[in-house]
Amino acid sequence: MPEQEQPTEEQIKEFQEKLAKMSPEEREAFFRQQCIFCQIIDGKIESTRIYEDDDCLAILDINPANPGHILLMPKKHLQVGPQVPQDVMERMGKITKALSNCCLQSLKCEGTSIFIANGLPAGQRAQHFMIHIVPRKDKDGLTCFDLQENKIDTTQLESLASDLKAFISKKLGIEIADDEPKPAEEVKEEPEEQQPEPLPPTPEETTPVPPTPEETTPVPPEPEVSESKKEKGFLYFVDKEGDISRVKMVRGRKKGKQPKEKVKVVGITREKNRLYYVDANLEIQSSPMNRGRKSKGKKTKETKDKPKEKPGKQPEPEKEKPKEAASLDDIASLFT
Amino acid sequence: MTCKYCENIERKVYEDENLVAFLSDTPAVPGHIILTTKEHYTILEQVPEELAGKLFDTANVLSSALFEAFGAEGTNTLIQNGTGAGQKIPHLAVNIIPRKQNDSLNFEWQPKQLDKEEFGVIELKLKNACNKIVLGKEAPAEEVEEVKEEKQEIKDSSWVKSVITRLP
Repeated sequence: MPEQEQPTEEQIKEFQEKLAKMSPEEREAFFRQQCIFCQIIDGKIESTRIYEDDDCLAILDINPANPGHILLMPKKHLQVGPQVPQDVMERMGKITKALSNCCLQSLKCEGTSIFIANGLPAGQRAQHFMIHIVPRKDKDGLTCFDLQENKIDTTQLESLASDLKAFISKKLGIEIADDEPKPAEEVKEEPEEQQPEPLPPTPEETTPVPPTPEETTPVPPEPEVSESKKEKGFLYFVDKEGDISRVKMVRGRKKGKQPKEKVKVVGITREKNRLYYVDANLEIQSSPMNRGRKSKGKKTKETKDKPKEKPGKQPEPEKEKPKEAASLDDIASLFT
Repeated sequence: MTCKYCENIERKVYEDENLVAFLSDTPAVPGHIILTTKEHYTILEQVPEELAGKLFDTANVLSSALFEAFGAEGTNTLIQNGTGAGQKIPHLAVNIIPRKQNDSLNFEWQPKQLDKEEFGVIELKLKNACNKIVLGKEAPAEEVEEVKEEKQEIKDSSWVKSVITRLP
């Protein structure tokens, strides 16, 4: 946006007095000479026009907040929102929606910030009313459009609401109903009008549209029918629920979580000091885990208390039952 | 997931057949209004054209009311349209914020500088999209070719640059 010097208070006052004496036509003619954006609209200053009709003009900002930053302005010289007539504002609203869609479709951005500044304290830099349409991407570094979320005392909030409601009712000559609980409506995911694909990522609803290529872990409602044999390329394991699950084994440097899928529901209860694994016939097996140096397979003095065998090398692996027999008995039987 | 703005709107300050406005309970500043559609739309692009027009006009009217009701010295209107723009609630919301000199807010940005090529490509892309979406025209063949040529030019120049940088 072209930079303009900030006038002093005296200058502002002098200017306002001068304006007050002019007729509407004189005022319009004055601004068409003075206002940079009126000069742009009239073609006296070069610009990059994106859209134009009888009421408004959209140009690319030469000093953008982000690439593709569009300025949409009324062709008539209007400084602030309250001066904009209803029909012009409605027109600009429709064009804003369309231009935002253009940004999403053509620039492949993930959203748009639509911004209006009315008045100097609000950050208005140009003396011509305009709507900013800024293409946005996740983590693009543009923090100026982040909204603070502050706490407010409920009593103060209620009081403000009441005052404002009364003011607006009176000003617009309308009646505003008291707060009533609304029934929850079904979340509408499909747009009503014809919408070109694709839509930008939206905050998560019932079916979120994630912008990243990583898949989320699916939650299968029912397990698949168990296969008789293990498939290659998958790692089969006993999951937290005591069922057989598998995950695809990834080669190379490919990172990221792979989706897990349940293969068979068994529902075993894990016991301490046992290693649970899936055998070649897709059955859950377990074997006692050895503690201490003996688990390394070296020839050491045996103690009566600790089991000898390594995990996975049991000559008689047992099939899992929900409440199995004591493990020491199984080990004792091997010594006979 | 139930939508926060679809049910139980409290602290309403404006209402008509299609729109409702209320005070935010986590305001940027006191008096921060949220204007939204009664019908559930997630982003602006989903809102029917007529309603989009009314939305902006109503926002403008409420903005004027803030000047008078709260003695605001300025107002900002902000739509966070899409997750990339910081949208958190999946229901389109127009934020109308009263401003005063030296308040705690600052919506100003640092302008970015684009090179001529990048600016030119964006211009063509947006113009084509605008012709198609806003005006319902197909992009003229010459313009489509121009975009392709621009892209090729940039690609070629990048290749040349990479060759040059590889030279000892």
